Amino acid sequence: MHRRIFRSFAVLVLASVAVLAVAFGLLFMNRSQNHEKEAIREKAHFIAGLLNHGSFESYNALRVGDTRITLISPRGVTLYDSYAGADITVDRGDRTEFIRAAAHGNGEAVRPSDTFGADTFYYAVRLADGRVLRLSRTLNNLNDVFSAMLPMLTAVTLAIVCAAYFLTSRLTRRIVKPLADADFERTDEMPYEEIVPFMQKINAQRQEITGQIHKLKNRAETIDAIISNMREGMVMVNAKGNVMTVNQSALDIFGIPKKKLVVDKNIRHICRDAEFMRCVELCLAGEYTEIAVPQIIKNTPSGERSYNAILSPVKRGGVNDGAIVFFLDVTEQRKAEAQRREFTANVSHELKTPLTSVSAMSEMMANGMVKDGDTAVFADRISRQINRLALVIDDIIRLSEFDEGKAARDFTLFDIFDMAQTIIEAFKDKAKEKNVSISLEGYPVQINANSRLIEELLYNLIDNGIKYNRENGSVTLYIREDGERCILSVSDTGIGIPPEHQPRVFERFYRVDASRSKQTGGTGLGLSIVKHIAEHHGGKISLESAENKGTKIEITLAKR
Amino acid sequence: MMRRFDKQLAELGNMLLEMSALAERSISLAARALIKRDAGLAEEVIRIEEEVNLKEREVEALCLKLLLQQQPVAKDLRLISSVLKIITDLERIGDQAADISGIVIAMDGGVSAGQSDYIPQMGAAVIKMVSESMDAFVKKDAKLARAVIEYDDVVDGLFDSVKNDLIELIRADKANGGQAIDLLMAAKYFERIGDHACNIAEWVAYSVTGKRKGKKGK
Repeated sequence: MHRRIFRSFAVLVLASVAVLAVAFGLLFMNRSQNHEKEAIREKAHFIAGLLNHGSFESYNALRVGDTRITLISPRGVTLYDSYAGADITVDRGDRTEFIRAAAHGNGEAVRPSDTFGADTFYYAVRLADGRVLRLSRTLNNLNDVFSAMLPMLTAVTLAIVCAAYFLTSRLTRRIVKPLADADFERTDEMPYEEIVPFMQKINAQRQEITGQIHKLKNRAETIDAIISNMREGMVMVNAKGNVMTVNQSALDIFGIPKKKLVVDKNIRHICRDAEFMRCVELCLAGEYTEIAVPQIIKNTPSGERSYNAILSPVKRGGVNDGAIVFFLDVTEQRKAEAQRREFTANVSHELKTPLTSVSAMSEMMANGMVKDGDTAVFADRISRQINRLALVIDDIIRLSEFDEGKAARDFTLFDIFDMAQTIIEAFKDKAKEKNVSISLEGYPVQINANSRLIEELLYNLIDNGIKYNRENGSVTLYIREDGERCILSVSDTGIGIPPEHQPRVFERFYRVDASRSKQTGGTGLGLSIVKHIAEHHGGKISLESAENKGTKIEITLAKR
Repeated sequence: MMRRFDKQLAELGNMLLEMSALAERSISLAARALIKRDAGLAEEVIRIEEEVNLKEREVEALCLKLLLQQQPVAKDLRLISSVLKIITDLERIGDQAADISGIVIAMDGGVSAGQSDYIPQMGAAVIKMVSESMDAFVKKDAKLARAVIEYDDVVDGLFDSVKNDLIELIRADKANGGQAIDLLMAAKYFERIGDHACNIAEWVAYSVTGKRKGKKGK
């Protein structure tokens, strides 16, 4: 900016100096020429006076400075010329000044003289004897004036230009300063009102930009938070299969301690499973819109875990530009699936076994293969098998009610101690059969629960206590309260449960010893139902057992 | 911009992991084939073994090319020489998986005389060793590599248990002898795979730390 202003200034200064120089030059030239002319005239008259009186020694004495003196006869013949190089043979009778002087006594003219190459002033005076005296002198021209003025002119011009430089730089600074210091939010402080609309516009745009940046930042942060907090592992790869981003979950899944171990490297560094890599290549080749790789198994310190990988290609402008890979933990899902499969297999087995014998026995009877005397025995066996079938089906229905959350919710207030007493009474015969004694300890506790379910719970626990007991063993039922809770424990002196089976006895159809089930009866669903009933009442169940010493099951129920 | 050499080193890492994935797959298939007596799976293992051999030659060629053309020093030299050693062990692992599969194919059709429960455990243990030794390579984790070396004792212990089980099998009925010996061979192959995994882990530890430290007492 300064340079531009200075340039304009300089042009202005130089132009005005030039114009002034010319104007003054012309003026000076004019004045000095007039002056010179006057001097020549005076001189001419003086010399003429001398000549008229004849009082001078020689013509040479007339020579004064660079004034040329010419004496011309009335006929125009040059009589004398002080200029050495002059051609005296030239007839000067036709010159304007001569003609005028001859006629009027004096005459003058200005001519560009060929002899001098500049304007020459001629002044002629007629002498008393008719001769004409002519004085001539080259006049100062513009060149001479300028060459006289030049040093001065140069000095002045330089001085002005320098001054202009400093002035303009100061000026520029003063103009620019408010612009540079401008606070775009305070238009009232701006001294140039022409700028204010710009400031307002810039201000508005700046606010808009800030808003947009803020929005973008927010969005990026949100996406970042989602990616880093999601449970699924996520990896983004470029078209070459190199990792661009990977979230924390993916690093955790594959036990990679630092991101930089895998970023910019092939995704193989995260998971090198051959099947998975084949799918990655297919996905990057763009042959699929989505591929699922089932079952990537990874050993972790907490055991084996299964993952599903889902790969989706990323397309940019219709060209494959990489892929996004998700790793989903399906361990629980697989476990649940396996359990369901096992359950279904167990259910079909439990239902089929009695049915097969019923079908076989009834066929034998129908074909007359059973002697009349044995019919009653066969019928009894059939009815026993059918009872067993009914029991299993009943238990399964009960369990499915719990699964669907349809179990009875009609809670009533009753004394669990009383109930236990009644049930023990009912087991008397069975206990005597096995030579097992049953005792009830504790004190009456009122609880708010579903009496039918609690009855079943007690029934199952006491039944197990007797069934898995030994000769002369005992079953002890202990009921007490602990604050807002009712604690119910059943201990027996039976065969116990080996430690490796303890975590699984509450599973459906799980049996510690499959070969004993025939002998003891039961469906393998009892403890599973007990657990569901306890949980249905907001209770907890715990098991303590030592092989060949006995088992103690303790249930904590909420009183209300 | 990546240097050409760095690019080649990255490519070398990729190829090694590819080869390792094949070897790991062949062990897990061989173990499954042995447990389920599945000749189909066993044949798949033999097919993969050929792929492993091909891969070994490819990686070896790249290693030699890098050694000759780039004249690597320090860490790069350690990496390349380790890779060169690791692939030998991976190739042997592939061979042994194929040998186990060969036994499965030979046993095909016969009535199973029983099994040792420790054989599946051995299979799982050596798969874990191989896969963790390669994980240690990816993670540049010398500690994990050392853990793999220590774990070899578990595999050796399992081998003894398998041996005892098989002795019992023969004692129960002398007719089981043939199968028991086949199974013992398979178990020995698993045990050898464990040793190769140890070697790999040692080379991984060397490439990370620069120190060559074998298993105590070996």
